[in-house]
Amino acid sequence: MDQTGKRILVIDDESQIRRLLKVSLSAHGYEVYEASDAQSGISNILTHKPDLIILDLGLPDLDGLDVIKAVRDWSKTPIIILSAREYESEKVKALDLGADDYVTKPFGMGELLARIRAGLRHKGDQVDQPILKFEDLVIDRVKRVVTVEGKEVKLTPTEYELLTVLAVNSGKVLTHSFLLRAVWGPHTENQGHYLRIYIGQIRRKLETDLARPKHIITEPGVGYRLI
Amino acid sequence: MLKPIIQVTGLIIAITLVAKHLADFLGLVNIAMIFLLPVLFGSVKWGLKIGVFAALAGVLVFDFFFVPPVLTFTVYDLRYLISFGMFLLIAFMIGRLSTRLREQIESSRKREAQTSALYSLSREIAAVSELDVVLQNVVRKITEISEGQVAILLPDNNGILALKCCSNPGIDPFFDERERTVAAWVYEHKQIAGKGTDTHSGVTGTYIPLISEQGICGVIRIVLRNQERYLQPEHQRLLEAFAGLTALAVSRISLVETAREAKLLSESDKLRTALLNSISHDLRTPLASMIGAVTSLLEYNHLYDEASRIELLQSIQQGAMRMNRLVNNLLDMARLESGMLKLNKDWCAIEEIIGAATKRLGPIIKDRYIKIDYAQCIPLINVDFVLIEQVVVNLLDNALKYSSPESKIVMNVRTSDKEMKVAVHDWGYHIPVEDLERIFDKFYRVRAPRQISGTGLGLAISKGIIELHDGKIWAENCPDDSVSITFVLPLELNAPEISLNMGALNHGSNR
Repeated sequence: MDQTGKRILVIDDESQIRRLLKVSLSAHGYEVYEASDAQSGISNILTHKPDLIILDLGLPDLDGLDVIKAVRDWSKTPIIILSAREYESEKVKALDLGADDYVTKPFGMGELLARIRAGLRHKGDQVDQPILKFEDLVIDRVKRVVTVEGKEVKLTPTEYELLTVLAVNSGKVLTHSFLLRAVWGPHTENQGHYLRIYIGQIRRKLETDLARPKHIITEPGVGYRLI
Repeated sequence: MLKPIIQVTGLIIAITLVAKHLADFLGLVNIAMIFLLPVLFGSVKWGLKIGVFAALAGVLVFDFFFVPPVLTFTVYDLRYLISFGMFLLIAFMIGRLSTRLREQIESSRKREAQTSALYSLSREIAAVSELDVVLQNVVRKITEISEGQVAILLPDNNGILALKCCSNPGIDPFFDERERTVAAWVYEHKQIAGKGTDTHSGVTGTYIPLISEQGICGVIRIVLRNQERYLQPEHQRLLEAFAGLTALAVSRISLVETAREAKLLSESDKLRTALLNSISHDLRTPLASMIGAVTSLLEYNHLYDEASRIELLQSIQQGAMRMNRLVNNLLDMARLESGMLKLNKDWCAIEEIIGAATKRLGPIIKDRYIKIDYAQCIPLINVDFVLIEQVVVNLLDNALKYSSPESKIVMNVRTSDKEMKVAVHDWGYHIPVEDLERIFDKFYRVRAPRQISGTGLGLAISKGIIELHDGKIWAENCPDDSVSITFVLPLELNAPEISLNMGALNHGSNR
């Protein structure tokens, strides 16, 4: 999918980070706009209508979480959070408020670009895809069959459900509570151990090296991501 | 007073009756001697007064019943008056001597009791290093000995006396403003005052200063139930001895505390120095390589071919990664030490934690053979995923650093009813026995045969995290020639379990 010419707004008070992102993202064909605080960031969203927002959580004038709330009131523009390592709960809050993904500072450019690509992909893009492919892992949603390296893998209905939710949103981090709600229904947020057990079982069936899972990636303290 | 008189009188009557029957046989001289018996008996048992009473009664009875003319107090022979005088004198002497003997026995018995009370108190408070426990012991002991109320007042941080320990818990009803003033006076003048003393005797309590070599450290207040005791000098001496002992204990504890504070201070001083040394070295080294590489690329770009350019860029990347690790370690340590670290516990699968850790180690671990050996059934553990992952990362990173690139690394995960044990084995340098515990200290690093980069914080952080989870962590040199670091986490009852399929026991990987 060609993403050149897509507009990205960077809201960060650190000029060095803005400069780095401007240079690198421009080189990848994106059109980059900058804002150094929340207020100008929000007005920038109105004027430039970006396709994706990169938002630093630690802004001088407004809490990054408030920016997400303000934006989500009237816009579905994907938001990628930049945040420091030790604030897992902040990340989860941001994701629950409607942010789409996060990158932990310091980050590698490859990682950020992967997040941007996943974010720019239209949310519903993969919902209608009958066959989802992730290297050796193939999910045939018409026949409800999952294969790894061509060999069929037997999944229970719940395991299949969980895998499909991850696959449809592939590349994006999904929080524990989102997954629990999506698979087990509302009011299951504190049943975290279901998720652990089912993820463990799916991994055992899909992954060739359990010590280094290739497809279902654990985002410590936040959730899971399928790639 | 009445009972001894009756008893002595009875004895005299009995002697009179017996002597009367045997008067002819005994003779007057022996009868007089027999009348010394009640004197001896009375003065030994009840003291001098009863002895004198027995002597006088004896003389009168002897005169009345035995000295002719019998049944009158008159005597024919005036020489008998000398005998009476002698009798009284001897009786008096016997009485005095035996009374003194009695007093001596009594006082030595009392002294023994006091000594043993002092001894047992000193033994009880010598081993204790908590002030409250010592004070409670003192108060209990003095209450036992002196049968009264005891309270100990120590100065607070502002130097104002405050009730620290009291024999009857709750509010001391006698402790009003006047009492307080006397207590303050005693504290200021370092002199005993209050009831039973020469100063401020109008109040209900006796106040004894707690004086040790370091000066006054408090005041002890005693209210005796038995008012007579105020007048007994040996009782007062005993209380003073108690006060001395208490003062000694209080000042000992405050000295221990001062020493502890001093040690902490010097430790934090040492820590600061170590921190500065470590940080300046560990920050400057990567910075030097980064600045060097960047300036070469900026200023002499045309001189380099593609391969050297990539090499320079990689050295920048490595330097930056290293600084990132250091900064993360320092932040973790700071958060652990400040107590700001809050556990975000949830049910976690240990294999997932280990998976996340190996993923985070990424490129450094890629070329190493790591075997992870799980037990048959692994219950979920209720821990902070991110922090335990950090521990696994630190242990693996250590194992990688301290062993040769071609050697293997083995992780064992075992569970029992109560705990989960995770061990990381490497076949690198053995840890000297004396270092097995110290490697968990901040900035402590084993002297390895080759220079190994690191901050000396990883294991200290791991220990802090494991202890926050009520677990244990230790290092061992194992019989199979490996070096292992093991941590144990407590398991909760009814933890959800993941059962592994047979054949999926070992998840090893080879390159």
